[in-house]
Amino acid sequence: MATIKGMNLTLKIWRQKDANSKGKIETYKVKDISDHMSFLEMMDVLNEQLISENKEPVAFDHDCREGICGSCSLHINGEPHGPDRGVTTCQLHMRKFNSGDTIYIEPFRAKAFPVIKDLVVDRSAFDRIIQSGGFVSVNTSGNTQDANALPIPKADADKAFDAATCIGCGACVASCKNASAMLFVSAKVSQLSLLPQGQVEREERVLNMVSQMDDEGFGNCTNTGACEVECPKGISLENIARMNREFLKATIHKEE
Amino acid sequence: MSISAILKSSIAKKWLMALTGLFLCLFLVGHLLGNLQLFIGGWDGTVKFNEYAEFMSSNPIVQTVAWITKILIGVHVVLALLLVINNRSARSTNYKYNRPDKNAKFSSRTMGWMGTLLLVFIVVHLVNFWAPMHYDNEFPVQLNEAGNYYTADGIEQVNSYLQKVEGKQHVFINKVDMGLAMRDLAKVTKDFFSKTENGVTALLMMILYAIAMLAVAFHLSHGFASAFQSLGINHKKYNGMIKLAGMAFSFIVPFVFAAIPVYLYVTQA
Amino acid sequence: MALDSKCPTGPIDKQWTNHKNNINVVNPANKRLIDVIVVGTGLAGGSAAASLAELGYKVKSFCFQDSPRRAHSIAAQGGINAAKNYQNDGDSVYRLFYDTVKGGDYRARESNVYRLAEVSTNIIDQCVAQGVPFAREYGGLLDNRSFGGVLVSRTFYAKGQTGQQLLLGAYSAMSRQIGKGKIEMFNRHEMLELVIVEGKARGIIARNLVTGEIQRHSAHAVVLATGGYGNVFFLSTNAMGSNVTASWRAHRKGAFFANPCYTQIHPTCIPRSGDYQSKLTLMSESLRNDGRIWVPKSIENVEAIRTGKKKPTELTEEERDYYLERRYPSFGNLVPRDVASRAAKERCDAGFGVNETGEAVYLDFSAAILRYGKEVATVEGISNPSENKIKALGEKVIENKYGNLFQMYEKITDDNPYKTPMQIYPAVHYTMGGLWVDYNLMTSIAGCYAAGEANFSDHGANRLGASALMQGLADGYFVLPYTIGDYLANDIRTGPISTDSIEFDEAENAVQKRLEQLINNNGTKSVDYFHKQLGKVMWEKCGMARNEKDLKSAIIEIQQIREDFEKNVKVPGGMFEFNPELEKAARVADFIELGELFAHDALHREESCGGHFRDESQTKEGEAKRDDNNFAFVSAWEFGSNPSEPNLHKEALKFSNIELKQRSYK
Repeated sequence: MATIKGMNLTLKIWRQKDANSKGKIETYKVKDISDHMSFLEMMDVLNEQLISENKEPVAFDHDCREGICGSCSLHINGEPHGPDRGVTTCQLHMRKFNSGDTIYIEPFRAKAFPVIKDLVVDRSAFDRIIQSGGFVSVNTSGNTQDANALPIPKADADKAFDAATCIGCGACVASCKNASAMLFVSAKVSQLSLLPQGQVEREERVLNMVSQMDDEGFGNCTNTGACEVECPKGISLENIARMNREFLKATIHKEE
Repeated sequence: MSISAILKSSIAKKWLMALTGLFLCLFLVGHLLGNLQLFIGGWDGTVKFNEYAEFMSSNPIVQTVAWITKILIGVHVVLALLLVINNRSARSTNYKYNRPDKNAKFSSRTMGWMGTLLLVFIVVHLVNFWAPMHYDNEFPVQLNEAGNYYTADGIEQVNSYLQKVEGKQHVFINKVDMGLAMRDLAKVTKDFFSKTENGVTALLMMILYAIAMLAVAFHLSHGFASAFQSLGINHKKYNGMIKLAGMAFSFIVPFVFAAIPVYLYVTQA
Repeated sequence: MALDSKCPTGPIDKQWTNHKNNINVVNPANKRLIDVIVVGTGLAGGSAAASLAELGYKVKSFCFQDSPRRAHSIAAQGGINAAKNYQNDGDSVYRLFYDTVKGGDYRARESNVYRLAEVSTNIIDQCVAQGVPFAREYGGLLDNRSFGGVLVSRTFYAKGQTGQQLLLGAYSAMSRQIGKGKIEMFNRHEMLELVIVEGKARGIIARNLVTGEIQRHSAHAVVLATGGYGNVFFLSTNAMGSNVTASWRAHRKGAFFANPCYTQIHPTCIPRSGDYQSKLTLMSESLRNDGRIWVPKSIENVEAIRTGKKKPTELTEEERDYYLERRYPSFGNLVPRDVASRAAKERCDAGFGVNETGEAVYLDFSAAILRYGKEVATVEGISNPSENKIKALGEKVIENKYGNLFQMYEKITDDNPYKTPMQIYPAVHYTMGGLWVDYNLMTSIAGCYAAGEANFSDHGANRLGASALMQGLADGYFVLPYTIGDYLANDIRTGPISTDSIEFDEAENAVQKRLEQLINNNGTKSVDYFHKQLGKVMWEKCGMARNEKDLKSAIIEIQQIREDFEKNVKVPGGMFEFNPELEKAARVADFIELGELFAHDALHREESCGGHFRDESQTKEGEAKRDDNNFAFVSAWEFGSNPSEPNLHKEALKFSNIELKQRSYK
């Protein structure tokens, strides 16, 4: 491991008291940051410092801190989850920065992701999209058919898995110039349309999910590909094309 | 889903953008093939080009296609406007510090701007050539060295003279109306980009046209392949081909378009 | 109060079926009239909420995260066990049952474990039907891998993200019910108190974490699926928010807490790198299939490595101590988790730790890389390949097997594990202890249930790999939906439970008072300061090896921490706003109380078993020594008059289907 060095950083952080207040960027300094720290551990250091100064700590979402729960967000130096690729903010390490750097930290911004406080946003729009159709309607039962009754080509299963690795963090929306949620929605549509279990509700699902997505106030897709670049799980744009296709088929075919 | 609900959906709007966009790509090819005749020198070239121009402005099928094109441009523009409004409102507060260059190509981020530039250009272009051709009754007509006029069908009318019928220029021989006079779009075009005829304006126009073609290049370098993605055509085996075709198209078509005014300006110096 | 496990009698393979046939059932029309609160949305809570709603109950579901999809079950990597016997390797319900009881060092309840093994196969069927993309073979059928401590291949997996895929399956089932209005979902809400009316759990007090509003929610039954309490150690592989509060509040209201000292310390985690560290990251157990664990033989070489004078790759084979292979020749690097963890601690305590903190050992893949490289070279017919060529070929094989883990390791440590050995150290990972429950998963409070990691019932003193996911989903999908009906059948005439009662008043006032105390304390030290103090005591004195002296001093130190916390904790901000520090403070207060009970339990259990190792109870070779004569029971602790005076109740463990044996991995 590299030797630990003390970094001094200037942080420009978005502070906003609550959903209804106007926010602004505030400047903070932190000293002696180890390059082995994760970005959020650096934020912990800042918060300990603020508490000791009788100031209010910066609120940010985080939980598992191993890149899988999708809680952490943060738009760091102009990019969701910061400058590293294939990682969430919690896995971003300070060795990606240099002493003396100024780091801008903002919440993920979208009308559909209103700010709750400081860097915390409300991503429940994603939940509502899943509720509109991101499931297979099977009740719990000890008598579903045997798991091996339906063989699934490995290639399809692998593709479905790749789409299913989405952690719902919202980086796609945050990076998109249009704040579009197409990558998120298409990942779920793709996963289920690739598997035989998802066939029965295939058409309804894509129509309902897209309609919910639009109602939530997300923008449209301009195919810039920013979402794919910033996605910590590398969800492919191919999924968006698949959703476009599924939507086309469903609209043409479905009677109502 | 009802038709109106479909049209309201974000994805349907994107299909329409893609379909109209790809149609306009076809239009560009047609337009370019016609324009290529300006590279043919001499009298034959002039006649050929003017004949082509008259054909394009009179043939009912061509006219229908022309109107469809105009409508589709309109649809493309109106949809773009709706999308932009929708997209802007999807992010009510902007980032104070943003680095979109880190994750998306310039061309993809500037579709709206390039499109607007193109719209302005199209208007200018129509004012320059299409409007006079259609509405200017004093539009220059074709006259050869022997002093003969041509009718719009491309036939040289010996010992002819011009006379206006209902405000339009017709070719007459011995008081017999031989039909509408063939207009000299070739000359108008060449003069437009000629330093001697048009002075410094010619240079400015050449530059403007070249810049506009640069905008077309950017617009297409994203738009072409993007249209396929919007239509759901994304397949490992063919993606490379589509991308390559898109890049080639977005480079070659605007380049050749831009080459025409440059050629005219340079060769007529 | 006598502990009645309510285990059915009769042959073990018929018990669950007979039980289901004999318990009460609520008719569908009446289910609509019954409210159930489910706290937690992990595998157990999510699957329970979805299944109960499908049955027709009115469900209210709570999670402190911003979405039910973020519960920490999502972080499970390796897989889920099920006795499907798809590999035709002789697996059966009995074998899974046997492995689980033995792996748990004979401290689990036979009836519960057998039922777990029995429903394990249904789980896989159910998840596949939901669209969970398990790994498949080229023929399109499900693939299996093997895990530590067993002799068959019964683990179903989805790359290294099995927990995520299963949780998203449960989340989608929940989402469907939320969309239908059958589940009322409360995101960013935290349960802070259990409400008991006439001896029955009838509701909870929750705090809306966005507005700070304190709310009353009533129901006919309350299910706690709130996970484990590993964060009592401050550093663990648990999520930052994972906490014991819901369980602890139930415990203070009368639910017995069973075996709190049974903690699983996972041997392969990325070591701590400094005091700022906020959490530890697990590296899947599967790595031990190909990695060899070692430290240098001589202290000189340890010093040279720590000061950077030598690189680990420069040490010859003779200079390395492959201590697991040395001590356990037959199982080698694949000994169970508790054994591997203790062996690492033993070496590091003796001064052989290889990093600056002295708490790290090597997990080395170079031998596997060479072995695989040679195999591939042979298969591809490359004659006389160079050493570099062999390494390149071998690295490719390793990348295919563990690529995402290696990448994660490199992102965190900035070391390339293909070129230099990984550094690993044990970390707190899972807690086998939890709320005491009977066969129906009901705690000692009527109408209060505990499911998943929050209860104690299935893993004994040590959990086998890939069994946590199995238990969470078994409880939520296939056990609770049946057993809860037995209790609720008596409530069909009760009608809605009013929140306008003295009991709700009292519970709400208690919460209000607790939070006000924290907010108005005007102390000087942050919540994390106390959490770290507690973690240090827990790790050093109640960690991988425990003894009477340390445990006694731990109890005193934890009491001091509690007093210090009460006087000096500083919580900024207000009560009625989004205030993460206040959330943490309330959780840490409960962790401190639990920590003390943990130490009491560890002190009382004078044997070594599974994850609980008492220095006083070991063989001559330093292996764990169980004491079945005196300790074959579940310690179920009742909250006494204060956190320092818990009352012990014992549930004797009877083994009629499995013979008790001392575990040996020599």
